[in-house]
Amino acid sequence: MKKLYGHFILIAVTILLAGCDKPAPTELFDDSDQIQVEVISSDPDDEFYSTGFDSTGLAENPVNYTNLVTVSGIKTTRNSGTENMSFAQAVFFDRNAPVFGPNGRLLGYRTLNPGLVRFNNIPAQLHPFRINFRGHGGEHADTSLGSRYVLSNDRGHPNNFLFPFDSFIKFEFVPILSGGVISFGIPTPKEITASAKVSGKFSDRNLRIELEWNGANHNDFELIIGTKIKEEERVIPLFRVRTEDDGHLIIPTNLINQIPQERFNHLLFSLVRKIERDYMEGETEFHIISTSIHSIVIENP
Amino acid sequence: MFAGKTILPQSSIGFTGFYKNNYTQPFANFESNPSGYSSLKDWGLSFSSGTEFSSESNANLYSISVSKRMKNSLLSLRYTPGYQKEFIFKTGEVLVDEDSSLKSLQSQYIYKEIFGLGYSYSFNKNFSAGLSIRYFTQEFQREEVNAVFLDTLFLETNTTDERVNLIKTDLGINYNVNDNLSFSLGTINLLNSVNGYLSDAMHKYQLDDKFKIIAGVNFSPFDFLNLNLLYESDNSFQAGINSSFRISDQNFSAGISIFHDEQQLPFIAGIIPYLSYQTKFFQVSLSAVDYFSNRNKSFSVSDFTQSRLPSITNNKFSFDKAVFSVSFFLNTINEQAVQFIDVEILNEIYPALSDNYVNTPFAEGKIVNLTEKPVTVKPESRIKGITSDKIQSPEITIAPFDTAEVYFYTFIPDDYNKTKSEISYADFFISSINDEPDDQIQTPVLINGINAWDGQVINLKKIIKRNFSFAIETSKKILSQFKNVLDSIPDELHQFYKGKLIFDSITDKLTYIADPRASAEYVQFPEQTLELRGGDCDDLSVLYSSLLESAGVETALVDYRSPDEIRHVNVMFNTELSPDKAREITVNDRKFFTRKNEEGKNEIWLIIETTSLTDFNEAWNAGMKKFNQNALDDMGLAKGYVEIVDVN
Repeated sequence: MKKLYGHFILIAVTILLAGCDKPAPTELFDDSDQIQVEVISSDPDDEFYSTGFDSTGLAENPVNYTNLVTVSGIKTTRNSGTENMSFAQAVFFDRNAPVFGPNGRLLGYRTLNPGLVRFNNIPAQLHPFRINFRGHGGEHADTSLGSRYVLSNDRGHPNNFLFPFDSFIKFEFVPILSGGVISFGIPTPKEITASAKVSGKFSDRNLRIELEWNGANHNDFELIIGTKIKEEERVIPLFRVRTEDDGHLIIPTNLINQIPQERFNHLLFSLVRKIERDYMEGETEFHIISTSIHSIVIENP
Repeated sequence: MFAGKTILPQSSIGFTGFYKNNYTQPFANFESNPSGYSSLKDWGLSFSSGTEFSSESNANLYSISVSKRMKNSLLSLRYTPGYQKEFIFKTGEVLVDEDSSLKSLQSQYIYKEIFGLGYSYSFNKNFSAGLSIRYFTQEFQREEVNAVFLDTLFLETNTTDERVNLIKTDLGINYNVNDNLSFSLGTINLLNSVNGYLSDAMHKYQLDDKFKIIAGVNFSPFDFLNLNLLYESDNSFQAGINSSFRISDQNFSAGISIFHDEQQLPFIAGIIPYLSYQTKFFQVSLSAVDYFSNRNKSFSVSDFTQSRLPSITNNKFSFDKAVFSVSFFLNTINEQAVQFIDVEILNEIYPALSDNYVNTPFAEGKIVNLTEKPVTVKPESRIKGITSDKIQSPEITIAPFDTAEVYFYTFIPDDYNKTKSEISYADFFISSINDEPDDQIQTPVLINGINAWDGQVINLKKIIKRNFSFAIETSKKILSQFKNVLDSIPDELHQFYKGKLIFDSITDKLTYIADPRASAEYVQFPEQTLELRGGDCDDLSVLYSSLLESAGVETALVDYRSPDEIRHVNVMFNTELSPDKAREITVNDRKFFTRKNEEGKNEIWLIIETTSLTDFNEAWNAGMKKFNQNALDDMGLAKGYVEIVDVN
């Protein structure tokens, strides 16, 4: 019997020692919504972004480019309804003439007006190009960098320019001084038509937003989440969410429910299909951004 | 019900196999058989360890269990460190840091079964019921992106950790139609108790708690073959075939099962082969689970969320396995080697005939050897009211699986003096190894009163010799009165005169009284006859013979058995005179009977009719007359209906 007990102990210890691993985990791949979230600016009061969403609906920092051409087809949905706007601009920056803010930060470059710009044969008009920044005491200030060529079709500026979705816009630049006409086509993305299902309450921090749109599997698709500052008209973009253009997205709740309610009220969701490219002719380089945008404003959620 | 390795359909996990042979079904299977459990006799200890064939094979300890049988109850405890399943998946959210690096967020869901407790009770050899209680933990860790609004805005990962504990209770019953066929019925998720907070979003990831029924049938058409089927109410099932065999006198078993699981593809989701070796003290098993679908492929989160996980160890994400287990049977109690079939009381107990039961059994038992080896059996008995201790009877040895008769003897204490008959109980014990009996049985027994007699004249000797000191004292008193007479007669006539003087001394005190007890023989002890001043022929013969024997006179009883069953007893005593000295006492040669002593010498015996209470001569004449007629003239001695029973 003692021998048996001895064998028993030996076998038991062997089994115990041999079984020290734990079962391997099963790894699953997520076939649900894939999203990539980033903060657009860690300082919501950043000088550039104090412009918020400008009339282009974009949140791009123009200091990165020499010559910038943007065309946008924009829809904005509010409680009162949906407004459509077509917008095109061309900005020529003088990289030899930087403009700095009071704290020495580069605000941008002075613009040039080197000729005539036409979109779909419609001449663009010169408009002042002003940017906002914070003054010495933190107060809001603005300055003009010069003029930019703008063509927009909204309530304030009726004309024949209509943004053609899923098509092309002809761009022409006729220089005043030397050089021939520069002309190229700007491809435009498909139109976005979106809706939002809202449940819960912002004040209860259980707000849930589910976006649906006509997915088109466009490879450059993003959502900009912004918020409106109380008692101001400015809308600040907070987060950029890159996701599949598959027509459905549930906004991560921790993004929107953490927004300080004492500073911000309305929420803005801008779905953007973008085509971005560079065009070079001779020594002249153009950075072209063509966007289809649908912005949904959720007022006092 | 099962041993070895098995994995059961759907929610029932396993790693204990279908296995039934003539030897042992050692351990409880919590999942499918909370009722039948096992035929474990005392303690049992089991370890189970295995290897999973995932992308990285690893070995782990599946379970440790201990079981204890207590009469009809069996209790099992189980610790299952290896019963766990972990899922890791990227949540689909990627965080872009300030330095533009990407950080994927992931979730981790861990399911574990920690402990199990099982209990079963055998109501009889056919029916048992049981319950199992199992303790699980479910842990859900999720990384989520969280926006932080302070002086600056930034994103961080927030880990939410939710944990709930789950206790599952299930019941089961088992019915053995016979040794070859049994049925079982059990519940799955009968009672589930959840403890802990779980957010609404995570409820769908909990273990399945849908109530189900599991039914099983186990059939052994032959001793070496077992067929079994388990069916769950969600249409999952498992079927197996097992065979036991011997190689070089060692016990082996092997089998294979197939199973269908409602959540797994293909229809037959896998097979479970096993091989087992067993001895009286331990069992070693090796088995495997082979799934027919590729388990090392990638699974999506959608696959995971389609339905709740029914089982931790058997689900569509489980990997192929090889399992090794060893069980030890530690019997601190002796196994029953012999068993009573029946006990028969051969004779009523006559306390006055106590010496009889030392040499003649009062009961006979029929017993069987249950083992495959010869067994030496020690029989014992105890009669309530007579013996407080067990009286051991002679041992016998029984061949394997054979039956034998065993005889029980007993001993009546001298001080037993109850006059009334009573029904008492006799306990019979048979032991094979040590003092703890293998089996015992109780039977009623009639104990007659102290004066009861079985009617056998030969047994009157016991009564004559009982309390002999009284007879000695009485005969001494009588003869002392006639000292002068005895001193004056020749020595050779002393025996004759003792017989005469004692008879004459008692007859004037006594009256013949027939025995009123028609249903049983009743004989008085000598002191009772003198006290009662009368008795029948038995009583008077016992008295006279006792007094003569105590005075040194050799006596015998003459038993007359007539064809109509009327019996009569006389006393004959040895005068120790040789026939040529007969004239010393009588001239009638029909007044004595000659018998040879041990040396072959003829001696004169006189037959006395003890019921003739006039005087010695009258009694002598009457006795001789009856003897001459019945024993000699009618040849009763030769024919056997007259018998002479020597008292010594």
